[in-house]
Amino acid sequence: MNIKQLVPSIVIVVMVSAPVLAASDQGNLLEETMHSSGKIYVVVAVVTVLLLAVFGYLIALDRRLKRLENKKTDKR
Amino acid sequence: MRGLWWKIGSAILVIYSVFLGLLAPLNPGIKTVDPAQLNNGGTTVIITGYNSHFADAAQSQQVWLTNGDEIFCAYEYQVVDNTHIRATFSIYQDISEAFFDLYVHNAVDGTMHLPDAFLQNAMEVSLKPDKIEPCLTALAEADRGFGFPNQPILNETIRNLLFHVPSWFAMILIMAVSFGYSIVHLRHSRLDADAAAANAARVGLLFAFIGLATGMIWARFTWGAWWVNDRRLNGAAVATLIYLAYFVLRSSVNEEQKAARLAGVYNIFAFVMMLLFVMVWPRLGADSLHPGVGGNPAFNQYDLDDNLRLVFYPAVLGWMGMSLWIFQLQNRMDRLRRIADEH
Repeated sequence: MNIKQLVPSIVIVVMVSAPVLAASDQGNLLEETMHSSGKIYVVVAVVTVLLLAVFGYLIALDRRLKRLENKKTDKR
Repeated sequence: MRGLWWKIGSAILVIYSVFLGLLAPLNPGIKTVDPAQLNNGGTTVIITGYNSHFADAAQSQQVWLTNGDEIFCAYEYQVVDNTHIRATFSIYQDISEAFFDLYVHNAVDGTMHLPDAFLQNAMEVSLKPDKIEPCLTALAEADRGFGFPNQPILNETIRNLLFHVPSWFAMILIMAVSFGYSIVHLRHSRLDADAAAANAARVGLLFAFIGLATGMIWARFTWGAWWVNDRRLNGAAVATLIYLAYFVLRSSVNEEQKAARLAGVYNIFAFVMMLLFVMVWPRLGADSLHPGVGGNPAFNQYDLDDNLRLVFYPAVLGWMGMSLWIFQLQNRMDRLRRIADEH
């Protein structure tokens, strides 16, 4: 177990939420969108973060499994 | 198929909760009033509704204010369309409280309520207000079918309850799993149990980060800030940091057996601290923006709403199952890695 293996999950969540964070300072467009239609876009953002984080974690897992598989076949 | 049923079950529960959580309509409610102040004398305001049927139900419409025990009916009002009413309130009396609550009732929407809708301006606030004759006011639920409660400020974002809160439930469950494996490791010196504890904590951290990120987005557009100084938020952040420290500790000791033993002991401490910071400490505080502080779990405010409950509990179960599933995958992968390293 290595601290490096934690990096993917942190990176995933930061990458997913960073655009929202960055755009919020750039003016009112995002603010207006988020507050329109009863703030439904806040829900959209939250669901997107949730699903992207889970899928991102699974992709990271998949990649590590792939590396493991490659290593195994190399030895044979 | 053996061992797969609970994974399919949780996937179905998650799909069900996302589907219904996004598609069920929001109950009618009052969104805003403009201006949000009432003057001594007559004031005309525009009342904006959400999912409301002001025009369709104009016949049965009633508009009134309450201030303490007193009731003030609209002096006159005019329905503009389904979501707008122009109302005039005429208030000369002494009142007992600084804020007026607004009620709009009609046969289609039932009774809609906006607490603290208007601030008084240039009125006499006295402990002994004039008595006012109550006008016709009806408080009743209309038969509206399935819908989520329309809370002031929250509006549609009440749906986030189904995505933000279950991730914390999943995190607590998976940290309990981690705690269990740490105990197994400490009792029987099984290195595979230690690896399982670490893997569970990793998945737990994923859900903690999801919980923090979704909570921050939700807070930004309802409370107006990414982070507020609140026990519930700070407690969650501290709990996350405690588990980050767990991984720092693991990687800082080179000897495998020693690292596993230290991590196991720390994990027991971490789990207890996490429970204290997430479950106990926030409830000791006074007022909080976050629901559930000073009461029981995080949804006592919505406890009465059966519709929300019908989606919330399956969502919690579903995401708990998903977290166990991800943990299992992670752990199986890790076992393969360890076997490969040995050869």
